[in-house]
Amino acid sequence: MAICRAIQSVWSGFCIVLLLTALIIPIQAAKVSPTWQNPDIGLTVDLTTDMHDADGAWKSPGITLRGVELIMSANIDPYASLTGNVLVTPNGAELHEAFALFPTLPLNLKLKGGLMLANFGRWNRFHTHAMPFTSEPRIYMEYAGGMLALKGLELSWLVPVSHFIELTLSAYDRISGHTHDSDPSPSQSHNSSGRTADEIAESIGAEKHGNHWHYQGKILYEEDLYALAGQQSSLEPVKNTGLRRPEEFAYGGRLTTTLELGSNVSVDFGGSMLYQHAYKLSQRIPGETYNKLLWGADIVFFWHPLLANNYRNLQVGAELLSSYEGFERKVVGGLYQDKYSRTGVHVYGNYKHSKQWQVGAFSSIFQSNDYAKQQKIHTGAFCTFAITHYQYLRLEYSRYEYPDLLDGVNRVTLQYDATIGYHTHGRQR
Amino acid sequence: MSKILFIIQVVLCVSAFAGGKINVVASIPDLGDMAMRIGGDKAKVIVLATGREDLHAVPVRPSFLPILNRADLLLTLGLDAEHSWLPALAAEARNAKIMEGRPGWIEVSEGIHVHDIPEILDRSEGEQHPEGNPHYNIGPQCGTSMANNIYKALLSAAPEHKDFLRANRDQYVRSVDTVITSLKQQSSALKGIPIIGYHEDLVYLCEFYGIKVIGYIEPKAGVSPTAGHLREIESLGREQGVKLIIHNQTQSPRIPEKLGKSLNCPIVEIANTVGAKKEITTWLELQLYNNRVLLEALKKL
Repeated sequence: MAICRAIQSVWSGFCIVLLLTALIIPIQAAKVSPTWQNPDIGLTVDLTTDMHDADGAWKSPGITLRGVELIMSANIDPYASLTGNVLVTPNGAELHEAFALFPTLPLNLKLKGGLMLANFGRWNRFHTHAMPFTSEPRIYMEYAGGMLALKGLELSWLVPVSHFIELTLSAYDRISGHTHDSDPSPSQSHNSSGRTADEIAESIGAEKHGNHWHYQGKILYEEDLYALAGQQSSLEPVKNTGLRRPEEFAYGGRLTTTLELGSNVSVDFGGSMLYQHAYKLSQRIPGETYNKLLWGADIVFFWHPLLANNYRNLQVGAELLSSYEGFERKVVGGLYQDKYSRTGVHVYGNYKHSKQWQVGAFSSIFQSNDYAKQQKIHTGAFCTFAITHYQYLRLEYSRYEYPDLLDGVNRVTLQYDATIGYHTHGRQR
Repeated sequence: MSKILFIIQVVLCVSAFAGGKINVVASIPDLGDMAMRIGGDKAKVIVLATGREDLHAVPVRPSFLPILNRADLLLTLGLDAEHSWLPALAAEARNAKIMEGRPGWIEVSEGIHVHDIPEILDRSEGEQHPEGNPHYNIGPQCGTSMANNIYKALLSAAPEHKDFLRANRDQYVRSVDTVITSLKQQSSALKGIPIIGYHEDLVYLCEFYGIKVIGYIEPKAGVSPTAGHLREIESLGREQGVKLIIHNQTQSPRIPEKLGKSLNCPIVEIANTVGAKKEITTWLELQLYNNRVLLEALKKL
């Protein structure tokens, strides 16, 4: 009996090793060139100039360099590749992505680890310059603070059936958004309780870039500016950024599949969620934490007539994003934990009429991510002229109907994008 | 429990190494057709593109991933013809065998006399193919090399079927030779005629028939024509007495038609892959189709 068990154990180990060996096949260099040791390098310039009437009259901040994206990637060894994406602005550099990818693990698994655009929702994995519109979808800015560029691990499983189904499970250090896009707002004025973040930034010479500021080579968020000025923004709970127990990190997942209706029409479906148990820490009650749940669903309809796929196609999509977040509700004689739930939707359509011309429209309708739960609407239309595959001009008009913008704000943006070198976004539709 | 696990492991091991059909995935139908003819019932062949689309920009559908996930061989034209869609797809398929550069990623271009290898590699020269023009599949003269490369790939995947595969290859190559002889006999009228093409994808076809390309509607490969360039090409066409304007099924006929009207010459829509037209289901039919439409257009002069 003991001998039988020993044989079974040895056989089990042998089988596992054999299977893993069969499944992991090392890369063989296909082409040899003098630059074979160099990584692939690409550089994209994303420039915008806009005008808006937030102060009554039409004004413009001039040309905004949203970023110069420098991407490098190459295989590390037979098992993994490495990608780095640095965004350079006139105010400094920001690391946007730095991840290792193990694309062919056994059992149809793929592992991505490092700093990455999280596999969440329809648009989060897209670089801003690769979106069909200039403005980032406002639902991300409202509920996540921008696009989710997170540090962590993503394990994706391609379900081994003939229909495409992919499941991704992820673990990140925290929920945190980052954007280089911002809404036009009327000029801020002093208030009695202290200075606004914009005013503090102006006084120290920090330069605003989306939802953050650049100051002496550092990236500062609103809470950093208040701390720098020795001023407390409020006693509201703050984001949990320090040392955390494993259960205080963020965990999530995404499930995607598709429905193909012939070879010209297909529909992609996706569902995502991201949860952080200790998203914020109470400043009033030591040790008290507040959680956050982001969940979303997205659907995209593609029409790509095969005979004209190079110069004609249509995509229409809708993305729903919901945020549940805990907060401290103050009542007479004390405070207690409460939660609010906010939902928004981003719909868009983009029609490519020829190799060079595309037109489209979008609308984001969402509840404000605060106690007031007011409705915000951001609607727009855009027209893109692709000079070639590597550079384009885009004109976008959009209108903001936000509660703090009494008459609504109109904005016109002209965007110019150009790419040199090797720049790929992998499998994206 | 341990006994069940033991049985599962044995079954997994046996199935992992069991010699079944060769799972072949082809990027375009031309390669799929040849693989089916040479592989016969020893190969299960699935083709990704339908042949109607531009092979440089095949719309990537998620259903391609499970197909690639199970492939033993991925047949590609190579020379970067599919670079904008296939390598990223293969990298996502969780199949180490068929990722670009690995043994199952097969470029069928080996042995082809490749044209248009750029001397200067620069984006100002348009959308270049650094290794040369990849549209050799429409050149009848390239059929034998393509078939040989596919035979070698199938043989590497299933050496036990060597005799079967070789017999099929030999038979197919004989049919290619027969068609080539017939095409040459019928097409002497095409020799030396000046034409204008849309994109730089006609070189192998024109080489076979001795057709003279005097210019392209695209000023550089992949770059949309400007009004200035169209004026220049029109003037060149008039000067050199252009006889035909040729485009393929994926290119908008609007500009060729306009140019044809002004130069008073016929427009020909050739097929650049198998499947481009309903009646083209094999690579040999592709060659016969292109020959027929070219000759018919010439009769209109």
